[in-house]
Amino acid sequence: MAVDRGGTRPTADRPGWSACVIAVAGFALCLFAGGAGFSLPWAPSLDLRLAFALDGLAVLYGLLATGVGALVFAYGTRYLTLHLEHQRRPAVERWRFWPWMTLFAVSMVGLATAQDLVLVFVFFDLTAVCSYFLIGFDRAEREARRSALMALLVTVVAAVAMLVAAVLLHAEHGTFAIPELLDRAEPSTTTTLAAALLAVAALAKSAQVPLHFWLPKAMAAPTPVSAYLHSAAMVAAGVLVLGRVHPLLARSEAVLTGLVVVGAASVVVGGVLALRRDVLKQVLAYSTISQYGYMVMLYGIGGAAANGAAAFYVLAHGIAKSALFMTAGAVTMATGEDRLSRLGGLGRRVPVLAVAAGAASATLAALPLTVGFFKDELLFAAAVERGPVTVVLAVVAATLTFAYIGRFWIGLFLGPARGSVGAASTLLVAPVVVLAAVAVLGGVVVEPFARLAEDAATVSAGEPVTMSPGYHLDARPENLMAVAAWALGGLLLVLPRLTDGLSRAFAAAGERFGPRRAYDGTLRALDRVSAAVHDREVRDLRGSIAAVLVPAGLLIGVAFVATPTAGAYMVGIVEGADWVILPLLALVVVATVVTARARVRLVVALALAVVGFALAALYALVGAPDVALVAVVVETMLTLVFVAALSRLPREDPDRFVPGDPVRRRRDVFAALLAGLAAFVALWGFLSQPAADSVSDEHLRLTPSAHGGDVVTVIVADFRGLDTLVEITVLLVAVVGVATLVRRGRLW
Amino acid sequence: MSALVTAISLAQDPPAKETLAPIDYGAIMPMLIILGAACLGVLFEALLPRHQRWSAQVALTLLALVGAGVTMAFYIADAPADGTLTLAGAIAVDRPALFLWGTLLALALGAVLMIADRTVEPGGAFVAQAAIRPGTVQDREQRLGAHPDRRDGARFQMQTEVFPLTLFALGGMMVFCSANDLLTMFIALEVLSLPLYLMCGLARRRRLLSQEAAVKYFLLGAFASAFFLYGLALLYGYAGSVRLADIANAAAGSDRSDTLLFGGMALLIVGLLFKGSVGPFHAWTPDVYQGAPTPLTGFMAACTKVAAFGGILRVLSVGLESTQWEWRGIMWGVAIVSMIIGAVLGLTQTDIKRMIAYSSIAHAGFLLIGAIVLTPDGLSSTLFYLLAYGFTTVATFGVISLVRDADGEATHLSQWAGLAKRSPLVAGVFTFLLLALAGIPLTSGFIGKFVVFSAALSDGMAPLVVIALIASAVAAFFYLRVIVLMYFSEPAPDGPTVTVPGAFTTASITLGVVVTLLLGIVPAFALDWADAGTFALR
Repeated sequence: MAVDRGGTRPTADRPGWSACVIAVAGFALCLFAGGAGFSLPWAPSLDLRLAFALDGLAVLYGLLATGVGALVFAYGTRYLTLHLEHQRRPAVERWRFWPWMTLFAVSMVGLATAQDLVLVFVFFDLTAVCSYFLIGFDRAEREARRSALMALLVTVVAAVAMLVAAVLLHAEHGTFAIPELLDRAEPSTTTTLAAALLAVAALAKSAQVPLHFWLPKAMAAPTPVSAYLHSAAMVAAGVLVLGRVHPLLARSEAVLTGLVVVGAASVVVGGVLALRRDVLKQVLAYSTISQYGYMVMLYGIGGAAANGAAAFYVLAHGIAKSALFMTAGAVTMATGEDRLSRLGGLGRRVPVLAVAAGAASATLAALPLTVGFFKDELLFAAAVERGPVTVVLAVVAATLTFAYIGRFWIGLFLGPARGSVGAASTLLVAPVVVLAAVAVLGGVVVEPFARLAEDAATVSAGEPVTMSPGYHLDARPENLMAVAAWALGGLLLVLPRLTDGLSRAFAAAGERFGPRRAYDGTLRALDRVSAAVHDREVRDLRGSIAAVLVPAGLLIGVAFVATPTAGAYMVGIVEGADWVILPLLALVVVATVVTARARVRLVVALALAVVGFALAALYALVGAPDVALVAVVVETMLTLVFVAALSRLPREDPDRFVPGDPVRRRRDVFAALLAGLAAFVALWGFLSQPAADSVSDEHLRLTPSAHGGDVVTVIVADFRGLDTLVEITVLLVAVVGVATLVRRGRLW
Repeated sequence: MSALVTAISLAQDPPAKETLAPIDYGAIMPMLIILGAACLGVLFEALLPRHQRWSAQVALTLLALVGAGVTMAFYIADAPADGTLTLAGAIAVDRPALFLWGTLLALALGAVLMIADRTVEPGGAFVAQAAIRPGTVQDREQRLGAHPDRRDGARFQMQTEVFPLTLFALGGMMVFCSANDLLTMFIALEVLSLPLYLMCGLARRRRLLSQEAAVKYFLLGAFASAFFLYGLALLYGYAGSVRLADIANAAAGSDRSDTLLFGGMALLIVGLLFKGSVGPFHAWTPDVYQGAPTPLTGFMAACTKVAAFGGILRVLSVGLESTQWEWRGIMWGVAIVSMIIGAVLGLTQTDIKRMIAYSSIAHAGFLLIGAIVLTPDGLSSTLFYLLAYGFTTVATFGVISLVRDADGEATHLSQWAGLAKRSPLVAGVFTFLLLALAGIPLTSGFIGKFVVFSAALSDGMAPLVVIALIASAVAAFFYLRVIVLMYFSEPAPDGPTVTVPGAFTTASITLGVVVTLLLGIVPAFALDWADAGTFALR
């Protein structure tokens, strides 16, 4: 059977086997180091700790991640080599695969053992990042790139909800440590909110309706990735989190009910859609959605029995699903086909694979003598405890599972032979056989599996859980439900037309109104909005200036609107020196208008100078002679600089400026008037109030002691002597600059 | 405008009667060293022969940065816990100021190393002579740079004035972060802005784009400065003082018209937000980031942001603390607008520098959330965010400067396709930096967002945090697009190459990446430092 395609023996996949060895080591660690743990300070000021503990839940998921991991990695060493050969890619591309795969396993174990909510979030995101690079491994394919991005976006964005929940809980209870949080949380609005947020993050990760659409897309990944992602890593991480914080979720009846609803919806949607898929991996992907729906439902039911059932279910499903994915991969590798409609009758040609896959399918379908039988037994027991609605749901779920997985196996291995079969490599079949063996073993000796699930459920239920799955040959409800499910499932299998229409309608409705459409639509709409706004965000300077001025104007407008006007504005009387000030102000107004309307540059400069000098005179009149002096000096200098600079410029009339379109001009005038009005009102308000204590009295009082004749001299030469010195220096530097400019760069 | 400054400064009370406290030289030594070295650098330009200037300036600048850092470290050891006011109360050297100074010095070290680099672009990223007109023969000649195999290459070394200009800008930023009155703050604002306006126009290549950026930055910056100044004038009219603490007291109980207070506040805040490139006052950011020489963009993006938010933090928590219920709603709006503009417009950018510019606008929104939480947690988280963001940004622009083709930097996104195949190391480093900007765990970006958002949540800003989370999800989308492009696309046959950087740029990028990683894994030391104390309220 182990004949290579293409003849040449490829080099051994060293990184792949290293990953496998690491997984095996991890498996041993999880198996023998149960109960160990440590806690180190990470960021004490944030109350973050690096707290890990290998409790029951951690052991269960750790064993799953490393055990299934080791087998999948071994399978992958062969699969990846063939895969790269088919795609004519160099073998060195393995290095883009195995490090991520290893990190995937490590972060999954980290997630399982983490005891700090923020730490859980960190590993949660880390699994998402790993899956991103793995799903996008076939980067030449557009579909792979899109799916990778979709998986990452959906899960990472949803994961943010977990972070918010962590912060909310921290604000309430002052810790991120999960055990303490579970202790301290009381039923309250915060707890409900945090629980709901945690559930959202977990459900997106576990591909539950309506955030399930990324998972079927993610099968664009190479098969080992799918096998691992569906059974023990990414998707399992969501349910793991549900288990980890379950006591918190149980504080809120609403959240639990929500979980039951979402779980049930996922069971039905996934199951019905899986019934009619043609692509092998798609059947399995929808089946995953449906299967995790069971577990979510169980966590929603809550209580000791359901928690135990959920833990057991994870284990049984992980074993079966990884085996089935690897089967699909092996079949595709051997035949080159990936559709049920083009395959068939493989049972006679690859009998070992057929038997192993049969055992795995039986596990999923919950047939006796496999470990899967007990998963359904426990499910039925929990459902019966809860009530009639869940009983019906459980039977429907089991029926669907039986039907689609039966169709999968029968379609592949029975019936007329179709498709040409190459050789299947031993390494592609052996892991399936091992998993099938484990599944059958579990069907005979269920004790070890039950112990694992008990320990895990003890953690998630927050109370000791005991369970005793076994075969009972009597007419208890669980057995009746199982028989009913097989019968109904068999009926669906024999009469596919019963569900054909339903499945097709589901698929069509999903295409039309499904959440994936919303996802695509959101992304497209964002792009469109972005492009449209960016087009408007003009590159011409006017637009940029307006972009600063308009919001600033709005803010100031708010300031005016928000303040009371009563008593804020007063009209005084005109007397004495004011009669000189008024003509000066009129001069300023005239000069300003001239500045705005003048066509000749020199006139503009001179008009500006008039404004300056008039204001300087104003300072002198209102009792600030020192300011007036400075203003005169500055104004003189600026005017000179202007004139000198203008004389050096090419003699081009600014009139050649086209005045621009009238709308714009009117808008400018309006904006200017508005700004002027605002300034006027502000100043009016300013002057309406009595002035703060002036310094002039103090200056006048101190003048004699400074040995000066008049106050201006004393201010300029003494009180503000240093200022004067600096001003003189600045003037000097400016003069040198102007001189250099006027003399074309030569100073002397 | 200058007349207005003079008028206000003249109108202030003369501190004639009381004897002034002696100047605490120990506290302001780092600032003095930087500004002194800047003056010395100007003298170097005037007195040293051209071929010695680069080495002398680089040595001087690095010495000044290290010297300032060392004196600061000595000062911190026995600094008073609640800060000290010196220079007649104009400068407050308190714990946040010291943290910001340290951040600025460290970031400037990274940026200066990049500015000084002459291997990535032969002769340096800055033009040989600023006076050369674009498109002329001289321009074409200098664009080829100082290739070692060119006989007259030495003529085309970069203009070394950039070093003293950088130091002046840095000195201005340090004063800005610790200014205890608005007038000092305004002077510092001008000291930090003017050199930046100038340096933006000094790119060796694409000179027109660079000069356009400089002119735009200057014009819009002048508007913002004017806003700041008029706001200052109104607040002075209201409070009768430009001291932040006095304004706070006046706002708590003054009989003057509130129009002055609110109008002044609005104008002042607009000026500050402009510098921090917070939307909707961000109009300059994309053009300037794109046109400026990349090392300078790194300096601006990191250090200006730190300085601007240092100023915003101080003004809000010292000067406007008592009126927070009046301005809080408005600032919520501004933060939301900034985050949305940054995240949404970043989506369709095709130029990597513009994309990072929009990302910086979104980050400004996140920072503003922290800045308006006036609790000790809000302060320390914003400080930490600034530190984390600064280092990531410097390194990001360092990497951007490495991807080049015959026309200089290849900043169009399509040119980055398949970069991972050409240079896995550079692509890996850039991926890490992008993940940090997106805020993925185990990077400093995650811790930064985490502390800011949790501070905001505990201060009752849950809706704002939800919007921020949505915005960061949208922003994450465009960072991821670049990663997709680098890893999952085939490189174009005539695509750009990755230049092997010299020691300076390598050191700068390494510094940024290592700090980004360290702050993501062991943030405790920086958090403790940021948490050490609050503003001096005097």
